[in-house]
Amino acid sequence: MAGYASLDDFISSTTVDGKFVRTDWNKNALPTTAQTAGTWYDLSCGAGNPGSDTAYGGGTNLAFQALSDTSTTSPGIQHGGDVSPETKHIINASAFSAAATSMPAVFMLVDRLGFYPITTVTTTGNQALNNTVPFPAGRHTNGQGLRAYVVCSSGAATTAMGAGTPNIQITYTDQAGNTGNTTPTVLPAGTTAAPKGSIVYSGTGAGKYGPFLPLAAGDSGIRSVEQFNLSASYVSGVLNLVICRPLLTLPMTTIGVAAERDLLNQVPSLPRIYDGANLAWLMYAGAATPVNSAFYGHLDFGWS
Amino acid sequence: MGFASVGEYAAASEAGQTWLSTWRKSPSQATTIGIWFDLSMSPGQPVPQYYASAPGVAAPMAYTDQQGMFAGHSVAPATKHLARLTVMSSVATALPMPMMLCDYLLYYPFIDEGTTDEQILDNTAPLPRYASGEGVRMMAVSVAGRTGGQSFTVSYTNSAGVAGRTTGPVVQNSVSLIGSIVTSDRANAAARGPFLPLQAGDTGVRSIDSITMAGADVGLFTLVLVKPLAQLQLRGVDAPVEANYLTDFGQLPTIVDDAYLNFLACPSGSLAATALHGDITVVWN
Repeated sequence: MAGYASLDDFISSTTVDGKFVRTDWNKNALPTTAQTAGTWYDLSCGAGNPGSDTAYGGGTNLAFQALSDTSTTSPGIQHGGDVSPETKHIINASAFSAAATSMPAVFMLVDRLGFYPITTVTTTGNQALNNTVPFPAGRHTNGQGLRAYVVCSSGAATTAMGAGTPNIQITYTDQAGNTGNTTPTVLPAGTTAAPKGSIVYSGTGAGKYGPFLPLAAGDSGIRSVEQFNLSASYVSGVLNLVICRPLLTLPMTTIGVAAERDLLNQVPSLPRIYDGANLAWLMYAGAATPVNSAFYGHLDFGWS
Repeated sequence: MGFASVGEYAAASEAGQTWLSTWRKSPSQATTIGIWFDLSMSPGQPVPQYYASAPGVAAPMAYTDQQGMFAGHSVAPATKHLARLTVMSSVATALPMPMMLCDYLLYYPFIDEGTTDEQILDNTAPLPRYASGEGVRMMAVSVAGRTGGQSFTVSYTNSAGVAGRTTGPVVQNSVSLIGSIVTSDRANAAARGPFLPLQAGDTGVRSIDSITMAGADVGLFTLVLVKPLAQLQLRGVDAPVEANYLTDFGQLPTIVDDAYLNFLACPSGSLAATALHGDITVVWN
């Protein structure tokens, strides 16, 4: 049976069998614009290790592109490769920063399954998405637990969104296979001139959510997304509709003090990391965080 | 509905039947030590609301109307439960600070403190949730400042449907701060904390029928019916407060569909220029 059968099994697997890997990571805040308090950001757009995502915005407009741990232009935090038929889990996580005014913050680790690049940001109304490439098999069950967010980014460019505040809505198939479900009102509202890496509808005020697009009543996942809708032109820039699975959160309060999470004893959950997972951090900025503020941390993984 | 075992809880989480939202409140008011404060009127996310509608007329509250903390949309016939709350701040002035998550149900705006006549309230609109009133509490939120020191008595219908129940005289503090709870005051023995006292034997409030000031003042307040859901204590700036309601408290408070969620807080000093951050996670089954 995959997974840990007991604490003894866990200790044996991680120590005797060596089924354990530690990965240290370093990601910087956005490269061009100070982060705004109360807003969420996709740190994959920042510099560091793993490197900056340069795939966002590329490829065929509106067509889903799958991501994995081997994606070269959308690198994720490495977690030790495939272990199937065994299952891999996060054991510990940490994050810290010594950068002034970078606290408080909340970090959220997600598995990015892929994204739809949207370059047609001046088009209003429904735009049909291309699902020729399906969501990666094996990293979800019928879309259960999958979430969506919309981030501004276009390759290595640092271009921000234009001067628009469109409402954003998706039409999707939920985890139960119900089609035609839509983001319910109050619709998320894009932020004018949202910078690269920002989740454009997050922040403070009416129509702001963070970090994920709300789902219709009763829905707990996304099997596929069929349409993307802007109520008005975003004038310029490139959006990406990212599909992900949230894994854990790390609240951080103090500069120079590590936020540490023991997921075996402290929060007994051992989030599962599926083969191929593309791990990235989302960041909720609690303060105006300067450009390129550095964050560090580590993840411990084990499998059995 | 709900959870019959820890295993069911874990399975629901694994199946994605969970939602996390972040919130941020940044009050502008210079709050006073020991005076409870209603964060629903403060700027940030969710957007503030101001109890602005027809005076004395019951006005129901719901997420879809006033937009409190977003805890996902309706899940009926499943039931939604509070799994985790996180709160943190990088400013120490107001800490330590107890906080209370409430489902705001209904309010009666603009109670006039300038008259000693009995003020009859309009209850055309019933409670939108917790219809019987079981566990529902009353609080008086300042919306226009006063000299303070006067008292008032509220007549209400309890959760058993018995009308004519009274709070007895409740004294007001002398804090003129908008958003403060006018009956909380650590320096006044007759003050009553965040909620108005209930008549002996009562466990909830279905509606407020009238209010009478014992002496005239100049202010205005709003009477609000709330269902307290959860508590936590923000003790310092060096660590977030993370409350896991399953492992820490052995309970998973129910959050009714379309609940208007927001916080009461009892600061140890001024909250002005203090940003409070946190997240709320719910799980349903």
